[in-house]
Amino acid sequence: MKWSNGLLWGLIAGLAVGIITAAMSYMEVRAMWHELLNYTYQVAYSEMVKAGIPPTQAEKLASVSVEHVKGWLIPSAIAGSVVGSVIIYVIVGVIMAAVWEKLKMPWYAKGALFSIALLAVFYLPSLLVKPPPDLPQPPKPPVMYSVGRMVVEFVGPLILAWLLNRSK
Amino acid sequence: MRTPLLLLLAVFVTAQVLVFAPQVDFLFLGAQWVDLPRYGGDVGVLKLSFYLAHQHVDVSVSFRCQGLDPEPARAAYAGPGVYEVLVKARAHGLGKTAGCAVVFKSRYVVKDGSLTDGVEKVDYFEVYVPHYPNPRVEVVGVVYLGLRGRVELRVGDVYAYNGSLEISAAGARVLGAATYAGDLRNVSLPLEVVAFDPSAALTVLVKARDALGREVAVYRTVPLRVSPRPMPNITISPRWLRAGTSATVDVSVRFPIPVNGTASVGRWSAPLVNGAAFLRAEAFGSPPSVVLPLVVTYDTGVADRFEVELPVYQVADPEVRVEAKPAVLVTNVVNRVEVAVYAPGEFTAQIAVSGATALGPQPVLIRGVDAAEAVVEVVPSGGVVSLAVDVAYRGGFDRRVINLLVVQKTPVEVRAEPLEVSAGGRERLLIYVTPLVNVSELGVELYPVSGLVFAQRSYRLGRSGGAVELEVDVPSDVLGNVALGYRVYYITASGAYGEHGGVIYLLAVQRPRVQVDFSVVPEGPRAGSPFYLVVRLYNKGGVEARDVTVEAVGDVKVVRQPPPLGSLAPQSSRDAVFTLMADAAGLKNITVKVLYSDRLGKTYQEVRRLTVVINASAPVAAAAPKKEGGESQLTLAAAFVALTAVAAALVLLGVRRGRVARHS
Repeated sequence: MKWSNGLLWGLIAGLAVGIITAAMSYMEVRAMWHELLNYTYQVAYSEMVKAGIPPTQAEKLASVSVEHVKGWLIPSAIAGSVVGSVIIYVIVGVIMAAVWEKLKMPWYAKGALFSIALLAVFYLPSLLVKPPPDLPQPPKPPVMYSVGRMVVEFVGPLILAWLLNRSK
Repeated sequence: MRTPLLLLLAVFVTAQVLVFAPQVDFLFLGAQWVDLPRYGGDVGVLKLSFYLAHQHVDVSVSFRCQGLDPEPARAAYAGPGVYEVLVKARAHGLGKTAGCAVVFKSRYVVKDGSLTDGVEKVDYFEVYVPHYPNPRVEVVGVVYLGLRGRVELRVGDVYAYNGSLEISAAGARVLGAATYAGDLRNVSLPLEVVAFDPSAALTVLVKARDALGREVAVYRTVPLRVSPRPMPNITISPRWLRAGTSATVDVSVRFPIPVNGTASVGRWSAPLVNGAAFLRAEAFGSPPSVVLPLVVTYDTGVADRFEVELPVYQVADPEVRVEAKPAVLVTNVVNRVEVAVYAPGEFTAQIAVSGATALGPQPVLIRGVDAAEAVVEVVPSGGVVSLAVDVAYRGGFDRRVINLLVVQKTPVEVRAEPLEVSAGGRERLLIYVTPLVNVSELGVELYPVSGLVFAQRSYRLGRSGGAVELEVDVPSDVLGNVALGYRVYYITASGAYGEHGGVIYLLAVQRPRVQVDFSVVPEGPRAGSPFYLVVRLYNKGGVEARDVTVEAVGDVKVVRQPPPLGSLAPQSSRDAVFTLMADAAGLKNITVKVLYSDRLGKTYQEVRRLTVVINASAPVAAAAPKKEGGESQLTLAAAFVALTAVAAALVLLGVRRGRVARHS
């Protein structure tokens, strides 16, 4: 199969998946709004203190940073989801197109294979390795959103495989 | 009967004469010496006798001889009767017979009252020129001036005759028999003489008679061969003397010729026999040398004097020792010098001091047996003090000189610690004052000289010195040498007062000096929650602090260390933030160490301790997030496993269907 095929359908699949994950990111941000702000504040404060800024001044500056961050949280989450998905699925599409003929299996099996790969790449490290007890700890989204993402990451390659199968 | 006989005889003889008397006018009666020539060429006098019957007028007599040169003789008249004329004749040689022809001439002859013609008569005769005593004398042998010697006197002549010898001497003395009588043709006479003059001579008087029987006395002077006296070989043992001691000296005298006499040195003497003498004398070693007067008196009365010089060396007797301590003295103070003298047996020693002023009676006398000590108090004035110790002991006399070094040593030693002070701060100095001589009182006064700021201070110290604390301020703009002055007042153990001053130089350096402050954020940390320890470092020194590192250890866990801070400029500050966490509540001790170095590589360390109050953690807030985090992780893990399983199942299914499709 031509790699351009993979590129095209990967783009389409990435957009689709990106829209879905963007929606989920929006809902996550809304759900963790305060935690995120608090986390931002903590990170800013600690970095400023490490840089030598007096604590009182660091508090004020951290508050200012949070105010700046507020307007960008949701747009950055949405944009990050879409753009990230597009990039990932373009790459997956090109690879999938390159190995399409070699994999002697139906399209759903090929898709499932790439699902396993994506799940392993994105989720296995976080499950196996515990992060250091750093401060401040980044806020964790509600578990259902994480599971939803995982399902989307599972379904996404299947959709791409179906699209590639239909395109040939 | 007799008388007629005699008368008859007389008549007979007269008759003979009257009958047989010839008629002769001239008759040469012969020649005989009146005065003998003494040597060949000498003139003798011959007497010629004639008989002249008549008177002859204007008579000349001459003759010629072989071996004689006569002179003619003239006379106005001669005769009648026996005419004798003396004629001088030079003899050519002695002991020879000369044949002569004599000519008698006269102009007129007076006969019977009238003059008639003269006559010329020639006659021949022989005349013997006898030897004359002319002995030659010589002396064989050599004598030494002033000494007895044997010579041989030889007297000889050309003919044998008897005579006598009488021997005398000028400038010498003849020992023994000095006469001889006998045949003088060849005489050899041994003589023993003593020559007192180099030009001595023997005078020999030879007495004899000549051919005419007259006594002849001939003096002969023969010089003696006089040689100067040989020098003796004088050996002495020992060949040198030790200064200040008496010694027995063996003197051996040997002449190359056998002479006798007496050899003496001072009051010691010994006989000189056959040219050898051995004597023993006493001499005292008086530097630089001793001259022994050796007098050799010969048996002739002559004496020779020899001077034998013996060098005298100042060789120390190893049995005599002198020690002095201390070996080093201090100028301008009273020094007690202990002098110990060691000599065998009973001795007396005298100490004379030079190069210093000696206190007490001088010179110092020491008496002892085998060993003795004395103390001399001196105040040195020069660089070296000399002690001259003269020791008189049984072995003689010895001298020792001990030189003691005088140093300009300070009576006290003053030093400061530390020698480096930091500019721009207050330093605490320790000034150590140590006396180097025995003192009974000691005090020090300190005052600023340059660079340091402090008030003048005085301190009183004990006899062993001590240390005094002095706080000084060093201005921050001062760099390099700074100085403080001191004046030490002391009284020595002997009561002398002294002062000693000086300056101590210190080095003012600028160094980094980091001040450490803390703050804890948040102010009331909780157990189990991380908190910040902010360490503020401020360099209040004058130079950069390099390689600044901060370390925090204690009862808390260090979650995150600050990175190395690098350098800290003077008059600037930086913060090092530690992220810490305490597991339990309570008081937690934390030690902070700050290490830094200056540009010379010298490291400094500041250590501070603080105590942090850790509050108990909020139980609800602490419990819930932990529990929630654990549940979501499990859920995610379960979802991952489930989705992976489904995907794996799809893959397996696809693989199986794909295989079936290929086989079909």
